[in-house]
Amino acid sequence: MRHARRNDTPAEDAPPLAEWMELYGGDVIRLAYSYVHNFHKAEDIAQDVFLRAWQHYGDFQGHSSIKTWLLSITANRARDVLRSGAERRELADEGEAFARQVEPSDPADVVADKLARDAVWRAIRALPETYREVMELYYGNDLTTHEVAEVLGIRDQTVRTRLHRGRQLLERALAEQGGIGVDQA
Amino acid sequence: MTKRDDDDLEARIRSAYRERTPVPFRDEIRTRVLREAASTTGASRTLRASARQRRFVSSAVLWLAGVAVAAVCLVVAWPKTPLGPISGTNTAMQSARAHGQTVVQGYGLTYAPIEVSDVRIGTLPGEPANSCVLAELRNTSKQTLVEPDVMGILWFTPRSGGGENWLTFVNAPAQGLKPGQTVTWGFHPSGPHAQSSQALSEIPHLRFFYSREASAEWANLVWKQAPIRVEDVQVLPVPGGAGATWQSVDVYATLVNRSSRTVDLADERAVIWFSQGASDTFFDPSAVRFLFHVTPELPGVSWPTVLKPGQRARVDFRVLSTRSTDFFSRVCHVAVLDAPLVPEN
Repeated sequence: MRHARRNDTPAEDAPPLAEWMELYGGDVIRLAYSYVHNFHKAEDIAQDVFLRAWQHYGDFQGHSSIKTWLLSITANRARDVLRSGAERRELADEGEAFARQVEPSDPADVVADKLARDAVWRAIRALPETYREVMELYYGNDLTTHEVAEVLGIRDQTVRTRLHRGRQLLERALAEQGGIGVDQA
Repeated sequence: MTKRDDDDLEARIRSAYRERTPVPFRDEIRTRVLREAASTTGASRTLRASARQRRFVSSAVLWLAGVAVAAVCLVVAWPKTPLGPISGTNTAMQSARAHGQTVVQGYGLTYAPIEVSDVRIGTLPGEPANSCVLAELRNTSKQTLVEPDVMGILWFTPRSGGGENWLTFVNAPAQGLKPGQTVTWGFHPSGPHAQSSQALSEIPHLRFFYSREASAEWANLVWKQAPIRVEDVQVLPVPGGAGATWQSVDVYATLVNRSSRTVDLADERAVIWFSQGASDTFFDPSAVRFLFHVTPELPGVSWPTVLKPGQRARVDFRVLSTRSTDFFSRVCHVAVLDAPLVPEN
């Protein structure tokens, strides 16, 4: 007896681990990074996240998407790492490690764009974790407020409140950075 | 803050996030995770994979073969013409259709640019200990290789020495292989090759080929047509041969020795494929394909080990696939080829 076209996927009804990593590996690392600000630490967390997901796939109820579930594990794991203080023994990366280096052709635009990007990221990074994680999930992962609530295990309304408050803090921070923030029209 | 300010801030935030470069998920991390997962057998047994595992351990149920509704199949047969070498300029599969018959001389295969290393017996999550074959695959080309591009052959040789004694088609990694990328590949072979514990003990070998026909001048390996004509191919469901996620069917065929010499069936191999198109070969990515020795495997089933000139034998192969495989709406093909089908070095 032969089984047709069996492949490297460990089991067709087992978690497709390789596919998860292909689809969501970057999102997981980025979210982890938003907490620990260290790329290598973020990779370690991502590795741990996928292994935990693999081991606990039986507990996955399917009420949310796989991505939301993985990000939820990531947020919890990253917080664990933060609480353990392990990340403090390593030097955090400087700045937003993944900001795209797209350079406009006009030198004046280059400077303005870079300053604006840097200003926004400085402001985002200065946000308290409570607001930063909501911003990361909502803007960075294109999740709905409902999905953000699922990831963080909080109420939808709380997410909306934190988003609003986070934007206010950003507004204030950018204004304080000397006009690089919102236009003062 | 005005509405305009709100919009401007929102745009700036979205722009900042949107313009982030994609985060790489390095191959090293991916490989490490897959390796760790493969070695984590205990916890993974609680996964849903256990359902699939049962299909292999409860194979006794599958032996309860019986007669059922026959499916319509295309008979792939060969005339009594002697085998000739494949022309240097023609495709390896020389076929001509006349009166419903297909003339096949052979198939040319070319190696895919996948370097296979560290082929070993191991354990995949959810599978019995040492019942799987693992290997490292590296794409040595400058092109991304996607799964349908290639097909693999996994085979075993005895530790005591000797040639291939069991073989099967396998797929390339489902996620594809980027240029230079290395992935850990795993496969759980089913069938009588495994011991009752399903532990593998013989030496595994693995090679990947392009999933397309090659002309003789480019072929690294030629699968030569055997002097056996195949008639009366039938596909029958196996009573009790289906589970929640799997199903098995029996493929029956009559083999006729069309040569003037005695043919030892131990020296032949059967390629069985279920295609969507009547003329599709087993190279077609949509084909569901199997490889068999032409010797009885099923309990209670027997046929002659040698066929004298003109002698006929009814043979039976049991194939197993996922529940969604539409065996009975596809065309079933059986081709008998001369061994070996695998590289000898």
